[in-house]
Amino acid sequence: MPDKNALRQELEALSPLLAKLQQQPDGLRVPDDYFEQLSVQLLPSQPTSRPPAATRRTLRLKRAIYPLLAAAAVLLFIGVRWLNQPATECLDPTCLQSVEIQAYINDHIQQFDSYTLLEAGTIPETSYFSESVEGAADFDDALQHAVYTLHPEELEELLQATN
Amino acid sequence: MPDHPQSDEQILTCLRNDASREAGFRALLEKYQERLYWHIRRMVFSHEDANDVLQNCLIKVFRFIDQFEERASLYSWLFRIASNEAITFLQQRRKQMGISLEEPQAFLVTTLPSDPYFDGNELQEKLQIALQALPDKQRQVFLLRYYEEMSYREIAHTLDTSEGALKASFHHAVKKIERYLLENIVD
Repeated sequence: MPDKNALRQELEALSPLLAKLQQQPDGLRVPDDYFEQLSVQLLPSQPTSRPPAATRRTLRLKRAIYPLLAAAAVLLFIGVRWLNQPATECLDPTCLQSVEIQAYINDHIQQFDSYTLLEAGTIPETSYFSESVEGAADFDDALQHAVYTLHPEELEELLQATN
Repeated sequence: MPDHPQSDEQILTCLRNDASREAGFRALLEKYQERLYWHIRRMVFSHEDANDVLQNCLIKVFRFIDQFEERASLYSWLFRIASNEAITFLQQRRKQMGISLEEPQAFLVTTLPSDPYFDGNELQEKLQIALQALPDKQRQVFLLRYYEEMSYREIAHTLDTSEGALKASFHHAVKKIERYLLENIVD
């Protein structure tokens, strides 16, 4: 609450000059309509009321669903990658059984170049073809015959040479 | 909820309710903006500076109204924020402009006569210079007592200072200003 009377008496006692000046304008001015414009300047920058209840519920629902959707997308991505990954092949012959090795050779024999095999030194030119094949029309025929007659250890050596 | 809150309690109630926050702020502006402006203006003198400080003050009020604990009146709280913002501004300006603490009013001697928002006579001009010569906190006390006509108890709540210290500060300020005016007014 303004303390006018007490203040006036106090000023009169301290300084009559300042007591007199207190009743007069101080010479300070403001631009026209300054205070009318002030609220217009201030209020648009302030956050107004919160969004209505329905919008708030929607926002809460979205906040709950978005993480779930993100997690589902990640899992889907992982699943697709897992399903599409190429079948791994055991390149280590020591982990294969002899029937598997023989099956592999039967399936891929056409890819084996007889000269590659000879260069690898795995198949001695004379040991198989001369000992196991009689009357082979050509080298390839002899090679195919040799495959069916090779022992597992010999097949393993052959695979290592081709790799 | 009142459509046009008038009392401080009504204004606070509106400000603390999301639906009526804007109406509460409008009511607060209507009731206090001029008084806050003039207090700040007399602290910093320049209208442009006062406008900046006032806007910062009101933004802080809007932002921190939920933290107002009502230990003092809303009126005291607003003036405390305004005073602190003005003093912070003055300290920063002095650093930036290299204004001497011994003669802080020196810049006003040259700028005041040409200021577009001052049209006082010689005595009023000297009064403004004398006010700027006071230390910031003493000027603050003087303005709250002299122009806002606050009681010492209200000023004590606003500035968190004892009434005795405030009375002494005001008396010294009055004597300093009177001496300056008497030494610098040409009759």
